[in-house]
Formats: sequence, C-alpha cells, structure tokens
Amino acid sequence: MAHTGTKPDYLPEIDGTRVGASGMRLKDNSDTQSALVQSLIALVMVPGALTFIASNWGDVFEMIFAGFFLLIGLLVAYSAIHKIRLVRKLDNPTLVVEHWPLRLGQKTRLRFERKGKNGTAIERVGAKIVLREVARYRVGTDTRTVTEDVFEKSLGVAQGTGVLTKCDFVLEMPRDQAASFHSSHNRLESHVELTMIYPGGKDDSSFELLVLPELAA
Amino acid sequence: MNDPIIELPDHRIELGETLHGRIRWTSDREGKLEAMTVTASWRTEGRGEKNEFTAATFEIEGKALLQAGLDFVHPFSLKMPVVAPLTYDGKLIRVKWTVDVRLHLPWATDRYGECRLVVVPKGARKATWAIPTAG
Repeated sequence: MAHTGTKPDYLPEIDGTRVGASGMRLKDNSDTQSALVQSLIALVMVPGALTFIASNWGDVFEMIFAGFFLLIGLLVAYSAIHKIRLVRKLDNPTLVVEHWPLRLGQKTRLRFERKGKNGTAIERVGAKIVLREVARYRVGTDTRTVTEDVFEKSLGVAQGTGVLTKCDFVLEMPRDQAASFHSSHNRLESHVELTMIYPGGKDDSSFELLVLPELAA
Repeated sequence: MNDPIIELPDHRIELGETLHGRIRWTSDREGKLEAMTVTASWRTEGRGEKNEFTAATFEIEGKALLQAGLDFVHPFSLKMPVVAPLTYDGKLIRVKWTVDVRLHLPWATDRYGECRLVVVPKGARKATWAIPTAG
C-alpha cells in the first residue's frame, strides 16, 4: 500500500533550546523517562503475577503462565532499579551544537555537558556520528520497524572534568551521505551517540541532528 | 503506438533549481491533444512501505493539433522544491526521483512516459557529489 502525503514531513522536528545566534541545546531525557515507565510496568506486573499465582496455587499450568509474567516483571524491575540509580547519580545529558540546522559537509563544534550528583564524576566520554535507516512495514495487523546503521565515524574520546563534565568534539558532517528525511514509513536519521563511563557503570545517549539537503559553503 | 519521450539536458538537478526539458512524441494519426501533464516526483523503495509525493507539476491544456508521422515537441519547466529528499541508494531504503509525462488524448488511450532524475543537494553542481550509498 502506498502512502501519498499532501503535506510531506521531510524534516524531523527536534526539540531543543536556541543558544546564541546559531546554536541549539539538545537534551536527552530518555534515562528519566525509562526509569519512570519501567518502574510503572514493574509495579503492575510483579504484584499482579504474584496475586495470580497465590489465587491459583496448585494449578501448574496457570502457575507457569503467571511465572512467565513474573519473570518478565522482575527483569523490568531490575532494569528500572538500574535506571533509577543512574538518575540518582547523574543529571540528564545535554549537547550544544554550535550550528543549527546542519548542512552536508559542515564542520561544527559539539559541547557535551552532564552533571554528576553526590560527587559522581564521569571518567570518560566517547562520541560518534551515525547515519541510520529506519523502515516500517506491516505484516498482517502488526507494524514492524527495522533499522540499519549505514555509516559510523568516531569523533574521539574525552576525559571527564570533575562533577560537571563538559567536553568538546568537532563534528564534520559527511558530504556524501544523506540529509535528514522523515516520512511516515521511511526515515534517514543522523545521530550523535555518546558513551559515558562513570564509577560503577556506563550509560549511552543519543541526539538526533537536523541535516538540511544542501552542501555547506 | 510509441510512448512520449522526455528530453532533459541534464538528469542531475539541484533542489531549488528549475528543471527545463522537452516532451517529444510522434502520433501515428491525426488528432487533438487535450492536455499534457509533466510531474517530478519521488518515491521510496525497499523494506519500508512506500512513501511517494509529487513535488512539481507542469500542465498545458488546450487543443493542440497532432499530425500523423510528425513530431509533437513541447517544452516544460518544473520548479524543484528547496527541501525534499535527495536521491538515495541505501540498504533498507532507496529514494528514487522520476519525471513523468501524461498525454491526454480524447480519441485514444492516454500515453505515458517516464525518465529517471538524480536530485542532488543545493550547491552540489559546483562540487563533486556522489549519490549516497550504504556501506
């Protein structure tokens, strides 16, 4: 089935705050959101499954059925606890992009900022640029999404700078790669992905960039 | 009966430019052409469901007289949008652009023609720019 739009939505709508004349501050709230959503799921699934097992005690088939949901609930709870601990240790990360929107071949500076809580300091930050294809298709009544990273380039590794980590990376958008493209079932996305190492763990963040279909001067 | 031919001086076009070309068609009998529509449009191919859009349209209406065995030649121009997907050949997704023509003939079935277009970013003509491919 073809999807013919009357008002095409070629470019992604990316939330951010303007910085200076041409910059943009992007925020990644996914850790806080994941902690909240996973906690709610675990709070529903674990007591629900336990109640079901208690009320059907002795019925092996129903106990196995409920045990399966209990196991999933416990895994979600484990992940939620990990996220809550992370949120208690670190603020949400931000990325300031010096030029916004970007153009193909454009060189710009990225400033990553993340504040530690209770004395937690990030030790190391690695960054890379990724071009991702995202395709959605239907199988029966299900909609499936498949992604493929078709381009990846490291932007380097920076050392943490105490409780308030600020580090800079230089990004040169590839000239011969695709610009941002969002349609209902097909997307070409450019992301800056960061990996942070802190005492006792690591965390990943991803920021989508807006890349216009024009070459930088 | 033959199909109309789309003649372009260059199959590469930058976003924001105006595409100029000609439609050429030889009718095998005398008659009138009621309308001609030329469009530039893109469509996606690959794993995802298809997205498509007509980005520019050129139309003429009226009763042009066609003579048997003689070429009907008509120029057209299409203003390309400033923001639109570029031609792309990836792993999961391909973006293809075409110029299409439809000749509306009241006395016969409509005639259609198509040719490929490579849409490149603004500023690419002055620089070397290859169609992005995955891998």
